[in-house]
Order: sequence, then structure tokens, then C-alpha cells
Amino acid sequence: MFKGREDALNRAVDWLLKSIDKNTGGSRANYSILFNGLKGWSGPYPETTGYIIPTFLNLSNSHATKNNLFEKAERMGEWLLTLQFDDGAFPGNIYYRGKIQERSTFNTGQIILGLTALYDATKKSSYLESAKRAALWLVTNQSDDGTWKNFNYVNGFSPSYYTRVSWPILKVYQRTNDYIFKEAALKNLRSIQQRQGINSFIDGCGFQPGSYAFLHTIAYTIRGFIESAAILNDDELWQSGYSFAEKILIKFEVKHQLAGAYYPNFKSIDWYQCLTGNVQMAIIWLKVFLKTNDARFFSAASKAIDTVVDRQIKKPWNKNLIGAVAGSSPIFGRYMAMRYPNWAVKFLIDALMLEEQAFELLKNKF
Amino acid sequence: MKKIRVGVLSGYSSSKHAVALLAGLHALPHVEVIFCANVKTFSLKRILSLIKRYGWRDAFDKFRNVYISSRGNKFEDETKFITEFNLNNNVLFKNVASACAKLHIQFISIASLKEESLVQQTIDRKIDLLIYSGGGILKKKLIEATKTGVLNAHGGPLPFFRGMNGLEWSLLYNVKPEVTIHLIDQGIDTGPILAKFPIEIKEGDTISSLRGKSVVVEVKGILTVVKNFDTYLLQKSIQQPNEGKQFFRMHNSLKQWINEKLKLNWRPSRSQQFEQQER
Repeated sequence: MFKGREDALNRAVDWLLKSIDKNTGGSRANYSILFNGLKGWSGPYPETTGYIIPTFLNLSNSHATKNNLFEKAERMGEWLLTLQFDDGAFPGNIYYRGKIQERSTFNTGQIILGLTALYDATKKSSYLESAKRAALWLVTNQSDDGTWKNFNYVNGFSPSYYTRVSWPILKVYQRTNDYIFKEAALKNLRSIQQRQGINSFIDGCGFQPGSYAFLHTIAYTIRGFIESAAILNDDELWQSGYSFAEKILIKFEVKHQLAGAYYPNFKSIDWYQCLTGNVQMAIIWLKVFLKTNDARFFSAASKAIDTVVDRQIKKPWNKNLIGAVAGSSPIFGRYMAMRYPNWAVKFLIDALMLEEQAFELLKNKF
Repeated sequence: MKKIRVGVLSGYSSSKHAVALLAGLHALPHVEVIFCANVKTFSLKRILSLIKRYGWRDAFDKFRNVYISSRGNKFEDETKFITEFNLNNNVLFKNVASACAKLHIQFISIASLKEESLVQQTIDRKIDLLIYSGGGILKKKLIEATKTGVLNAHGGPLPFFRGMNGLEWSLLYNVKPEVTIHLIDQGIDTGPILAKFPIEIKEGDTISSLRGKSVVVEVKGILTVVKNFDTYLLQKSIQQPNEGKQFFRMHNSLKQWINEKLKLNWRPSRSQQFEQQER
């Protein structure tokens, strides 16, 4: 690993371990004294716990074997299974005991990522069965045009970052060979492709329709395309993700900074950075490098990781914060203002591990 | 024989590269150096841009060492080659301004190459050819203000390695490093190619030393091309947009890895044509 990366990874893993809620085993969404009171921690978050599972499983295979990460990932999975609705859906929002949970299209997708990873690692059928029921719920609720009209963050708005709902559905397809999943995922992906402009920006990839998009959801959108393209070996889907990823790379390299958010004409909101988006973009660029051998993407990814490693909390003024990554830099930026979300650290860990793997491949290839 | 009327664009006042060019061009009998437009070293925009690009510490080092003084600093590995080249050629001017004063070349101090006055000077003084040795992005109006264009030495093999760190990227891709002399157009290093000159790698070389050598090759390359300008112009090759990619500042980890390979006496083996064949 590059200088300083090992320390950054260890700090991040330690912080993510601290985020685990003792009662449920789920990872708490964020740390913020301003939002959550003196204890600082929010409740556990099913959505991000779902996609933290593959991170822990990867870590248990490589770096941090000492912390029983495999067992912790399994416990996360077991907790998620208890949250599943009878119809297969999973809840949105942060979990608080006794609070009524609502179904969520996007969050159900993200939880499937954890369940399929656990199935691969343990071969326990309960995980695959749960993932299949969740995917079936998604398919059942999908509209004929490939979008989802209900159970969205904004009522009636099926955002473009639902490419990241298609990806988990395809994960279930890979494991069941049931074409219903492939068709549903593709229908959604093709409908989102229609939103891509000639400048490569994909309209509707923010939380609100007709507005700017945080880099976080832009990266969600691109990742959904490139992962789906990889599963289906589909060049058109790849091209949609790749062209958008390349445009953001050029913006980054020319301005020496990733913006916190972009409008569909690529006008940027520069006064803050969306740190989780920075590392999510790094992951995408590393994946592009691994597919294309275009080392520009490796270089940009490492620079994007630098921006987050530099801002990771290192000084021990509050032991709950060491290793944390803020939503925005400066911390009062618009994305997750004044909070340290668990997914920023999750994506940092993923990026650091992928960077190491990509660098080894680069050294062999070049 | 009608002399070629030349203007030189310099990126900063202590640029030994620009000094070498001024002296070399001045010595060519068929060339008349009319002016040298030098971008002011101290500007807030420039400082902020350096900080954004390199971070505080590296920006400070770069500013102090490259733009103000190039002696006794961590860039010495890089700058010693052009210093030595100037000494060997008896070019002893302290900076661009003193070179201009001694060689009777008009010295123009500008805040940016985008200044309208520079365009006007170029038109008024009937400049045939501008020679670029740093200073930022050029406006179309300036390129079009000359009779022939703006000549640039790019530190990497074109058309494949456009943009920044051409030397480093070519090494990473195992391609023999070259300096490409080309005319600037509106794109990034996409203008017609006039000539290429190899950068020789010797035992003990590092990226810094090769960058230093590259600067000397750039100066020599420009002077060679200007010496027989009409011939080179006739044999120019036009780049196609899809022949190459724009590269950006390389991450330090990759530079360190290239240095490790160079330490093991590794040599790039491929000529740049391989890239075109691969596509």
C-alpha cells in the first residue's frame, strides 16, 4: 500500500467497528453530536448495513482478520433478515426500536447486496431466499416503463441512481438464473439510459427531480451501470457509465477538485466536497482502469482517495471520531452537513482495498 | 533573405529555459526576435492555482524553487541540466529580463497570456512565429494573430500522450520518451507535429533527471526546427483527434514506481506506434 494508506485503512476499520450497534449488530448511520445528542451515534441503518456486509467480508479475507469481521457481517445479515416485511421488502430510514418502518425500493436493493454476499460466503440458503423475495418485491412493484412509482425517497420520482437497484436485482439473477430478474433490471437500466444527455450527464440522478445531484448519487448511478454491464457483458450499459465517469474525471483533473454536486449541464457546486462521493468515484475509476488498462483512471482514483485520506479524522480530540470521514468538506457543506456517515468510511475502505489490488495489477501489466 | 520575426512567450522571469531559447534564437541569422512576453511571477491567481494543484507544501516549494530561484533546492536534479546547457553555451544571463536587455529584445511584462495587449503587439509587430515556453493557456485570438502559428515543445510523444506529464506517462506505458515539436491549435497538444526528438535514458536516471534532460531536448528541438523552419513546416503531420488521449498530472505513487523501475536499469522498449497498432 502507498505511504499512509495502511494507517488510513486501520483507522477506518476501527471506526466502522465502533459504529456497530451492540443490540442489533447493525451499523449506525452516522455520528453527530448536533443531530444525535451527546451520545453522538444515530440508530443503525439497514440500507448501509446491507452494503457494509461485503466490505466486512472482503476485509475478513485480506487485511483485518483479528476483529471477527466475518462473524460481524453474519450478525448484520441476521439482523437484516428480522427486518424484512412479509412481502419481501426491506425498510428505509434509520432503525429505531418501536418506530414504524416504511418500505423502500432503493434500500431493499442495497440490502440485497449484503444478502447475496453473505450467501456467497456462507452458502446459507436463508440469505439467498431473502434476497430473492426482496428482488421479487422490487419486480412486482416496478412499472411497465421500468421505473418505480412508489416507495421512493421523493414520492413518484424514480431517480436515475436506481441503476443501483438494477445491479442487486442482477446479483439475484446471477444466482437464480431466473430471467424475470434480468428483464426487470434491464428495463430499468434502459429507461435510465434514455435520460443521458449528449454531454454524458444522466438526468435525474439527484435526490430531487430537476435539480443538482450530489456526487454521492452521481456515483451511485454510474456504479449501477458499470456493475450491471459487467454482469450482463453489455457494452451499451458500460458506455453509459464509462462516458459519465470519464467526464467527471476530466472535470476533476482540470479543476483539481471534485465538486460537491453538479447540475445536468455540469455546472458545479464547488464550495464543498462530498467526501463519500470522492471515494465512490475513486472506486469507479479503479474499476474502469481494471477493465481498460487506462492508467489515467488509476491516477485520478488515487488522487481522489488522497482528498479523503487527508480529511479523515486523525487527531484524538474525540475518540469516537478517529477514523471517521465527514459527509462534506467543509463539514457544514450541503451533503450530510455536520455528520460523519458510516457509508463514507465504508466506501473509503472499499476504495483503499481496490486501489491496492489495482496497483499490484498495474505493476504486473505495465 | 527575409528574416523570420519571432516572439517568445515565457512563463516566469527566472526561466532558464526561456533564457536558453532567447539566446539560441538570437544567434540564428535568419531569425529576428522581436519581443519576449513574460508572465509576471507574482500573481494571486497563479499562487492559488499552484496551491490547488499541488497542495500547500509542494506549492510553496515549487513557487520558491522554480519561479524565484532554481539553486540549492529539491528541483535541482531537474534544473541542473538546463543550467549546464546554458553554461556550456556561454549563456550567462540571470533571467529573462536581463537576457532581453543584453540581446536588444523588447521585454514585455504581462499578467497573463490572455491579455489583449499581447494580441495587439503580435499583430502590430508582424510576428511570424510565437514560441511558447510556458505561461498558461493561449487564446485563439493570439494563435491567429501570428502569420504561421505558435511553436511548442511538448515533453512527451504525440499524438498519444497529450497534456501533462507526457514524459512520465510514456515511461509508464513502456514507450520511449520523446519531445514533440508542434504548432499549437485550440486543443490540448493536438496541433500539427513538426518533429520529434528522443530523450536518452542513462544509468542512474530518475524522473527528475529525465525531466531536466527533456527541457534541454525541448530547447534544442525548437532551435533545430526554427533553423530549418520551412522544411519542417512542409513535412508536418496532422494529428487526428482520436489518435491520442489527454493525460493529467500523474499521481506520485506511479512516479515513485517508475523511479523504482529506473533504478533497476529498466528501459522502455516500445515506440509510440504500438499504441496506434493496439487500437
